[in-house]
Amino acid sequence: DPQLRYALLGDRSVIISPCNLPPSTDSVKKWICGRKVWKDLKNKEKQFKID
Amino acid sequence: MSVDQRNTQFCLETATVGADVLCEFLEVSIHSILYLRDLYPRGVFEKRKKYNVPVQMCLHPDVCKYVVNIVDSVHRLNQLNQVEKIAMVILGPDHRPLERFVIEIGRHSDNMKGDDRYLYQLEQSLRAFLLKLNVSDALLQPLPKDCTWAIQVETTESAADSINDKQMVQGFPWVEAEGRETTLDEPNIIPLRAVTSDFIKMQMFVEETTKKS
Repeated sequence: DPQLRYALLGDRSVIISPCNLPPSTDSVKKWICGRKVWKDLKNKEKQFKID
Repeated sequence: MSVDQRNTQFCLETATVGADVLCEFLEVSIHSILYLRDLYPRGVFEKRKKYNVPVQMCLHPDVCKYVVNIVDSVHRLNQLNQVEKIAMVILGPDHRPLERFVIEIGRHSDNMKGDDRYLYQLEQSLRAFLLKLNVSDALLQPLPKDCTWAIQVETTESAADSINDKQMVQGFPWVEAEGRETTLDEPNIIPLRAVTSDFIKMQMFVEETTKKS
């Protein structure tokens, strides 16, 4: 029982960290490249509609 | 409503506002540090305004979700009043900590003045915090390439267990950090800012290892 453990051994201080790692720089770089392509396509589509 | 009831309600409101303000500030700080220390390409950030200060926020959905999950967990811990320190650690390519941006949180005092009803002074303090953070990169040595980052929260074992039960369901569990990731070799401490108000009591500093290269 955790409550009993804290009562007997004390509620010690701990440093916790997320189990999951943050997104890697490479995956963010790939995403930004894809976003740039998507933005260019959108701009071309807009230009095409105006013309 | 009696005076005691009114005081209790004021204390509860103060604790809630303090927890909310801290979490909002934490989210902005994490994004700012990611930008300032070049942990992600600068093109992935967008300029926004917070407390009347320009801040850079990451647009990448996974990074945003990761930060939101962290903030959510810290909010739960803060509601239990069990957060002592929150540290954003920058790890080198060999997973050794190079820098730690630490937010140390103090306990709420019972003898509050209650003269900052419109949170004006608090906003000014947080504004100063962000401005200080924005210039902190000038005080630090450049980082090597391929650095990564992690968040470490200093709390009690009981609080850690209580949030882990809830966070496990959400797919964002927390574990006890390894000793080698929490201690820096020969650190230099750079104090950034401290604030003491009715709603929040915290100080921020950076620890930087002298053995960066």
